[in-house]
Amino acid sequence: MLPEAQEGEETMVVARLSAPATICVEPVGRWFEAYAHRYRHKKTLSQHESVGDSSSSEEEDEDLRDEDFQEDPLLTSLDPKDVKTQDHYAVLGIAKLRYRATHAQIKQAYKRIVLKHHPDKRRQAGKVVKEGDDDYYSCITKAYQLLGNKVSRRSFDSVDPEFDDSVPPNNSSSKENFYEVFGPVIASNARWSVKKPVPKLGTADSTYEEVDHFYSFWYDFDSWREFSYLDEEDKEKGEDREERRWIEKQNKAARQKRKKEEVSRILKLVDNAYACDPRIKKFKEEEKRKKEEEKKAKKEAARKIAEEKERQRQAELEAERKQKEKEEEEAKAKALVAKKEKEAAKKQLKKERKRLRDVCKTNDYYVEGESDTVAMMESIEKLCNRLQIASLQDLNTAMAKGSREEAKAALDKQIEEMETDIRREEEERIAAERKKQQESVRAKEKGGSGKPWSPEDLALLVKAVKTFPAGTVSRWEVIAAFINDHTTTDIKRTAKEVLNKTKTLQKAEDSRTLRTEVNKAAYERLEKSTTEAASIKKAEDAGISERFDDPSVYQFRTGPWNADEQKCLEQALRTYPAGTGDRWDLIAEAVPGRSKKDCMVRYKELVELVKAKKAAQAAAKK
Amino acid sequence: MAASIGISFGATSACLATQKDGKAEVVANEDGQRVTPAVVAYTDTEMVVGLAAKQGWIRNAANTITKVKQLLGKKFTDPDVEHALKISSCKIVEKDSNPMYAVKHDGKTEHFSPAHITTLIFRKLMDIAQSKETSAVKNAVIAVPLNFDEQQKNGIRKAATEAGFNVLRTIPEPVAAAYAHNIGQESSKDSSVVLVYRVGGSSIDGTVLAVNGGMYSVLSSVRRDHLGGDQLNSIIVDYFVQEFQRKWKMDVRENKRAMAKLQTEAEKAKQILSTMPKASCHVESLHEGIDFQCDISRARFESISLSLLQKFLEPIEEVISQAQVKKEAIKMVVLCGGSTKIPKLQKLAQECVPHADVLNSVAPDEVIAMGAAKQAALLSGKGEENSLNEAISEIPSTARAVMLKTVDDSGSPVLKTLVPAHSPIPLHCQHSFNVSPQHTACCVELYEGDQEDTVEKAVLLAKIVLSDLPTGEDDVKVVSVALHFRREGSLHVTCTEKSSGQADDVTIECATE
Repeated sequence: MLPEAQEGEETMVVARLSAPATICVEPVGRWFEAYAHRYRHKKTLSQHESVGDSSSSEEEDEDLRDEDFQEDPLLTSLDPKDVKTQDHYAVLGIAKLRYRATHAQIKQAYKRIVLKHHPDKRRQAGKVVKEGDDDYYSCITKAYQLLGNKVSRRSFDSVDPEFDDSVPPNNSSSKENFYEVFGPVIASNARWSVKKPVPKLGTADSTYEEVDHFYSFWYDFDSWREFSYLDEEDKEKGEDREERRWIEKQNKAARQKRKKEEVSRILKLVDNAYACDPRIKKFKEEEKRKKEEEKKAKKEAARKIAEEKERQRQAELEAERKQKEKEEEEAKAKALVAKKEKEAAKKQLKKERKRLRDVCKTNDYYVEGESDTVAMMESIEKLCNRLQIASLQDLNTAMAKGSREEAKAALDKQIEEMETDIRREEEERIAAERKKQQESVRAKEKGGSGKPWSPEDLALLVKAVKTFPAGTVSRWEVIAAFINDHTTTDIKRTAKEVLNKTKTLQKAEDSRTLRTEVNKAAYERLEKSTTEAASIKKAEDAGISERFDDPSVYQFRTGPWNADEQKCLEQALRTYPAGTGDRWDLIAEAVPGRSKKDCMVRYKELVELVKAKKAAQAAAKK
Repeated sequence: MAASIGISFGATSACLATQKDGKAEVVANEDGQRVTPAVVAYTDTEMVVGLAAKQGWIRNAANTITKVKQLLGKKFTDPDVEHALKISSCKIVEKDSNPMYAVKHDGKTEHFSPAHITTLIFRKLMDIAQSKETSAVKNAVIAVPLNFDEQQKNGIRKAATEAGFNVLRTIPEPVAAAYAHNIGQESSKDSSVVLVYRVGGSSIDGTVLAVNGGMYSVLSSVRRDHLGGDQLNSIIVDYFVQEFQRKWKMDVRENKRAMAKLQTEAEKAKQILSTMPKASCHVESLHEGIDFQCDISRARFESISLSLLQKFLEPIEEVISQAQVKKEAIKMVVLCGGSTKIPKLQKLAQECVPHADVLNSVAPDEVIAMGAAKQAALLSGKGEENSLNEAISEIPSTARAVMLKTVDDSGSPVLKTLVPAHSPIPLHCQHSFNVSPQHTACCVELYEGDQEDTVEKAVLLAKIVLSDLPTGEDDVKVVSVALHFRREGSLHVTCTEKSSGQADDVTIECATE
């Protein structure tokens, strides 16, 4: 029992509900499935229908009960003849639900109406009932027949008399009130779409993607609307096949025409909407602006980059310039300093010279006699010119320190030193001149070959000439190969070169000067050698040099060893074969005037010589 | 039409059920048994699954794999695996940090993963299913323990899929059991709290479920591993051993074969004692050629196992305290697991929760499979939506109950609950109330609060006044109050007086958090 309302009480909300809590549920049971289904398909509870679901049908019951059921006047006024034009939903009392009504709801509505309006019921209630098909009840059955069948219901829904087919015009007023004008129209037209869900018009805040999706959907609108309900004649009314076919054809043409109209209507609607849509305009502008901005930004970036480059270049130039300036300044400063120093040194020198001269003068140049004095003055003048400032200073101090004798001694010593220096310089100058001369001569001698012959090479050449006497097959090639094999320099000589050189050397025998020159160039210490005999005799001193004096006398490898010594060595080597204890000591004893080391070195040289000879011969044979 | 099958896959045994003509039925295996032991055995020549494997356990313990469920989807280092190492008759080795069974098969040692063994058991179940059904496609719902993680669920799914089942969903075992009893499914307006108590072969768990708007949500769950029917068997075995010793002065504990035989007998005796007052055990040539004959009465069994049974009940107390509900709030206790057939245990459970109905109308060892079968039938043919639905686990609900103030005959106010707390929203409901014929105006006052709150304690939400009601004596004035909770939490209330059509409505917004 509900309490009685007190005086003055009125409907009001006092407090807010607590915020919903979250519960974890296990995926079991039909209620869960029903919930999940709704959740997946974004359906509300009232839309959702679960067949055989007692409580949900109860809810529908309530929904229907809410409908006004005072439609008896409408029902009674129905004429079975106009059944085609009646509003079937209104007849069943679900005019409000219309196309949203579920099948169960239609069924229920029909059942309820039947209970009230069935002829038998009415007769029971004592009301007048017309006979047969004339009674309005047939309209109800017809309505249910139509709405109860999915296909026929669809055809009726397609031509729902309540539906407004109008399309808002493309004018300024619809542009101004775009959302108010097009929103409801789009929403009502959405019901024809085969595809669900249908995107809504949205609001001014819709994103570009939403709007884009909306228009791409609507331009590609797939409608299920069909117009078979409006068929002029029922196919089934045809008396024979031909007639039925004809009717069918007629109907089809009419339907197609209507369908076409419908398609163009939707297209027009979307076109108008698109044309009036302030968002499209906005987006276009935005895009334009964006593009411009991008362009601008690009330009800006390019400009910045150029500026940056320019700036960098300037900076580099500046730095360079500064560097240069600095360097110049530094150089200038240095030059200045150097100049100053130089001047100071000059001054100092002058001063010192003057001092020396003065000292000498005051001491009468430490000599007696006019001529001596002149000579001394000359010497002192020379000294003044020649001596460096430091030594001049030293001299001065030395002279100032000591007594007159000491000073004189120092001066004399200095003069003497100077004299020797001058002499030496003179000698050096002469030597250099001579050297220069020699070089030019040698250059002449060598002709164009350009490859200088070092003393070692010359020695080698002599040796080779001796080793390979005239008559050897391709003698000069063998000699060249021998020299190339044994030379310590990198120079490679050809047979021709070797031949030329040998010839030059032989010719040189005739020209004493030239030979001397050659000898000088090769062995400076042999400046004074004169004759071949002398050279043989003086073999110990002359060494290898004599060989080119006369290669023909070159019998054995002599070096600093003379023939006797050689013989003794050979004998000793034979007497004490390898393996003898203290072999080299014994050998050294056997060779008079030679140390043990000398003998070993000599032996090694000999061994190498023999080896080289054999190798050269082998190379020549090849 | 593909057959829809519910599978309960336990550590000890598996059960298969299917729904036919709106009724779930257990599918018996080829031996006529309604549960199939989850045992796989390898012999020199073949591999056997089920009862045959279990019976061969005495002879072939080293190559018989039991309790595979405990290892499924677990790493070798898992404590459960360590425990299994101790109790398993079969050798368990580590391979890539996963446990593997090492058995002798065809003369050589082979390694099998728990997943492979699970698949074998599911194949067996598939054979059983196919022997009864003609359809090749088997849409299956598998009940898994509540504490199974994704990896374990996936392991089960994979094994079942490999065996040929089309796994629609895995559901928690306790919920399946509650669903088998159809709790809360009659009407979405019911709300209750249910305790599901399971005693399995090697684990016990208790779960408190809240049923709101036909949906189950778990309030708390307690699980005890390594406790269950197996321990009862041991007690009976001990009893037999003592009896044998008393009679023959011989200890059979050292005789492994004899112990295995006694084990089998003890299990049989235990099952018999659930229905009969007395069970007898008879083993020929148990030990040194002596035939063993022994009777055990139910009273004896109860007395020797009482302390263990009381231990079994500990999870009940624990889970109720964890759920933070009063004991009186629990209206039903669902029993599942073979051991809950024991009359003494049922009695103890009833004593534990005296206000509740202990439901055992569905056989406790089959109830989970039945629930799964019901769910499978519900899901069958719904396509891929199923797997998606499993992902929905959190749904909005009312935080507190919505109540209406009424007056009783004496005129004192009484609150009547229209929508209980934790009802899933969106929600639609409608209630009708009479108005005293003398009153020309009535007031619908909506309160929010807890179930037992008085008018003083509850919070007034809104008042709806319907005035100028007709005062005719013959008219019974009925006001219908329709409540509509929207998804976002607001409540829309419409009050209509039916005879006059007087109506008013308000919308109560919800507080934002």
